[in-house]
Amino acid sequence: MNSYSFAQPFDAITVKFFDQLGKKLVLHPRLRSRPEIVALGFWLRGANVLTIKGMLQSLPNSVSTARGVVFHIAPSNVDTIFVYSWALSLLCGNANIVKLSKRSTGVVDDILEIINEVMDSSPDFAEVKKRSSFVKLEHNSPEMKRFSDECDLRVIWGGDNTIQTIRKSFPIRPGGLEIGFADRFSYSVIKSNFFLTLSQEAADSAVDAFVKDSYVFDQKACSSPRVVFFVGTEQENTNARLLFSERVRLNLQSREITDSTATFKLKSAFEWAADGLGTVSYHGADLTTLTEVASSNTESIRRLDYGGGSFVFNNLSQLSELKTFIRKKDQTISQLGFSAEELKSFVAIIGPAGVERIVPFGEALSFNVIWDGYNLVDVFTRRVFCKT
Amino acid sequence: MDNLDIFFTKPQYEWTQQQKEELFFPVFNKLHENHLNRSSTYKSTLEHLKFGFDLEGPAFIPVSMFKTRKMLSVEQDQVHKVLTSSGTTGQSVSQIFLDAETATLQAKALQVILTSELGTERLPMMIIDAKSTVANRDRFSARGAGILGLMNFGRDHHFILKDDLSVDMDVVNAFLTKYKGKPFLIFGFTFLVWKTFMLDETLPDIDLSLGALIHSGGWKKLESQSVNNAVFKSELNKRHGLNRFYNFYGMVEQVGSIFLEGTDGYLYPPKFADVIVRDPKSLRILPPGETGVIQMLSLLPRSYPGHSILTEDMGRVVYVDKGAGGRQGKALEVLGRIPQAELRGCSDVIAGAVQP
Repeated sequence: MNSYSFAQPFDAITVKFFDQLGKKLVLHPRLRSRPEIVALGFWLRGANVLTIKGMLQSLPNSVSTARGVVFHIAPSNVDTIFVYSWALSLLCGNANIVKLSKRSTGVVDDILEIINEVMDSSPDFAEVKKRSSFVKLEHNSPEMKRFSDECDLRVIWGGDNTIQTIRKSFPIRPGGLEIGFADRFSYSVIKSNFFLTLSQEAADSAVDAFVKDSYVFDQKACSSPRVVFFVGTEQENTNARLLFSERVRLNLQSREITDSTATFKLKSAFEWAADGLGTVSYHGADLTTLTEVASSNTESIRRLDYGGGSFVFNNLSQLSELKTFIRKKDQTISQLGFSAEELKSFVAIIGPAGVERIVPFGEALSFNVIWDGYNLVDVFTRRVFCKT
Repeated sequence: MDNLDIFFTKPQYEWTQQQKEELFFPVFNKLHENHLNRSSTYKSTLEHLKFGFDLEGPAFIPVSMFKTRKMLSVEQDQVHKVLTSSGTTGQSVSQIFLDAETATLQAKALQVILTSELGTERLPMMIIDAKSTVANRDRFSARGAGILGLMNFGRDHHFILKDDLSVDMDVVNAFLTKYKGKPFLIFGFTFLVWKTFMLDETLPDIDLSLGALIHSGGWKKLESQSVNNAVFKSELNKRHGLNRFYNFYGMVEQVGSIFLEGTDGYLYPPKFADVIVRDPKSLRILPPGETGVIQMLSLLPRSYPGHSILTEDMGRVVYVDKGAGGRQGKALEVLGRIPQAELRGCSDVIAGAVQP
């Protein structure tokens, strides 16, 4: 049995380590132009970590301490998730084993390189290094069993299939805790007349934010919008859709598309057409839209294979009509043009149906400590009830 | 049904591109209409798909659709045979439904193309594969279909590989002894031919100087060994004296419409087939010399809508009506498969692959 070491939640050295890591990540020549790395770098820095610390509420008769040994299983679609999971857990004082995806990319390798650099840059950080282990395991390796047996918390990123398979093959101990991030579905809502009346500059900015939400990670992240709802009168919606498609394509003009991606997009468009749910418009290799889908086809819409910029465009006359579309697995609604009051009223009518977060365009992929209904700071720490 | 006789005349490469198009497209267009009327999946797919730009030239479906959709232009009870493409484990395979008419046409097509170049005599044939590949007569893999088709062309077939694809030297020696001093045919898939004649340790140098090798299957599997068409030919010649090579390009989704290699090393469509090269991003039809994705047209698929298929192969039309040995029409060079896009979903686990 390994000897694991732990620390106090949010101890100064760990906070300092991440501040340095955050700064170093955005200096890396290959990484710094990536929006997800910029976001990560900012998130890891002192000022932000301090606000996260503030999420650890002080409650009467309770002392917060580390959860213990945490076994993280990273997803293969979003390269940065493993860092958020590990970092938060490390800040909470835990010892960590992070199983990386075998399909991880150069980006993951670059991030690991920086992590190691910072860990080795000061003897102070030896403690941090001791509490971190990054591994790539075969699905049926003995280590999978060992880490699952030994951990106090297992965090599974990677969708329903991953969670079911791992739970079946490698149960954790009865007293252990596990959270799984299951398959989620996300979409966008646009208030049509708002979009139509934006200045050229503001419209470009909004579209740029949408593209950032949708095309990073090839539209494969759980928070990537797949359906776009246009809300307004029929005429407003028709005009907004046209203008929006045009603007999105303009924005994507300078984006490089590989032959492989273009081939995938074309195959995908034919599959959507064969499903016969509506009209598929292959605008180009950059954008495919499916329109004129009957509202009874909610489940079929959800089962389509999305990726690389394929969207269902639907019309609503009011935001409240979205209620019948919502399911428990829905996660992110990214919105353009709605006021705080309108959104609050909307949330009030959803009830237990679903939706974990509503964010403005541009923030769909922004990681937050409150994720899929969990306050991760609470998950990664343990409260000891302490009364004299 | 149209009379296709004119497309089965010899020699197969005598029509200029213009001559071919004048004869080919009226028949092709009628065939397309027929498939639209008879295959509801095909019709529905094309009707539900709009392109945001002018899509020039003949419509197509991507070859991947044969893996995901069952497409028939005849009643189920008229299906005579089902072909499947080869696929790596875990991938779905194409399903091609042949009625008697299409199966006959495919066989006739192969016959015409090969006799056009190799003469009509049925020579003894050595097959670089195992008998088990053609065992199941109702359901064939692409390899099985290819072998069966080519078998009609030769006689006294000797399968020289065992089930594990190692060489059976008893069969090889029996064949070479029996036909010593006489011309013969060899057929196999490119990678198996190389593996057997160049890499198998149990096979000594043998005399294949009177053999004509017909082979197909692409060079991808040989890329890692740096074997391309030129190396293939020269090494086989050096070691075993082989000097007649008939490489061909084809696919299970269009069996019979094989593009046979000319002496210039390029691949030529027969009279009842044609090829278009498109830019994979804009789908624009590219002129000769420019590389793009290959679209294959064929008059043979009658029972399934396989007459116009966008492949996942990259290639280019090298020249038109300028072929070596007087070959007319488009000369195609196939450059390789478009790699699968890496759009990663979140799950890192293949269901069922985990053992505790």
